[in-house]
Amino acid sequence: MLWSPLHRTPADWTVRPWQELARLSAEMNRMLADPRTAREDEFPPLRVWATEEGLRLEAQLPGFAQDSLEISVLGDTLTLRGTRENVQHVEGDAYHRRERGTQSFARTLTLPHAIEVDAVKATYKKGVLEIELPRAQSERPRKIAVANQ
Amino acid sequence: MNNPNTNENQDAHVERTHERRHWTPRADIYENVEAFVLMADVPGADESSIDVTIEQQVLSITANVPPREQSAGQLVYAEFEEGDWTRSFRIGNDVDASNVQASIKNGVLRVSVPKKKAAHRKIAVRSE
Repeated sequence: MLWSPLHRTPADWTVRPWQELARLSAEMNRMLADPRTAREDEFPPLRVWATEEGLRLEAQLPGFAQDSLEISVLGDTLTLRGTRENVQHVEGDAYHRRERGTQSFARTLTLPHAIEVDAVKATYKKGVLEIELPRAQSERPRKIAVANQ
Repeated sequence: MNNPNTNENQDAHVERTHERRHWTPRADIYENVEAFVLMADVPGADESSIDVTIEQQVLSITANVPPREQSAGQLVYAEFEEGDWTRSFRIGNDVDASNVQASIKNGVLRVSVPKKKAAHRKIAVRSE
């Protein structure tokens, strides 16, 4: 299992020390809390891949209407929001077991690089949301030609 | 591994023969006038990869989630693992197991198990 937070590069520590301190303190708090419940607060569960173009993110979001999902990107911050489609009940219906969530959610992530907002693509299929997050042009590595004197 | 959608399946009735992990989907069960309705979160599964069976009053669901292709890049962060969904429920004998209906939408399986019709019938009385 991979548990490597996205932004743990030395560059982050030097460029954004306060943000890194805040992250460390948040992580400490989470470790002190009950680890089981602490992690379960994070909805939706995510997986992230690094690709040549940037990042690809996958979220398990069963039972949402496609147009109730909202993705917003600002610089290197990604926010996901959504509201679950709930069953409409009539009087007399009774629950025997209730484990699935019924609430709306919002989750914000800090990504390791800025995102080219116009090129973000998302698909929602079989209860899985997949988002392509290409790295911003300004943050792409550039090849520099060496001049011959 | 904790995941808001899952618990690791520890009491599956059938041992798997391959290494793939399987998880217990979260489920709701409610009852209305006509039926018992089961709703289960099985993200990644669709109608072609899911099986619902009833045998000896046990309703079982098995949903396969096709593995992701390897060329997708490098996995750098994960809060859930790939795997299939399996779970079984014992159902009472006051249901009509031959008319069970199942459907799936946006990764949520819905199984409706109708209740048995009341045994009494109305008998028309003729006048003579």
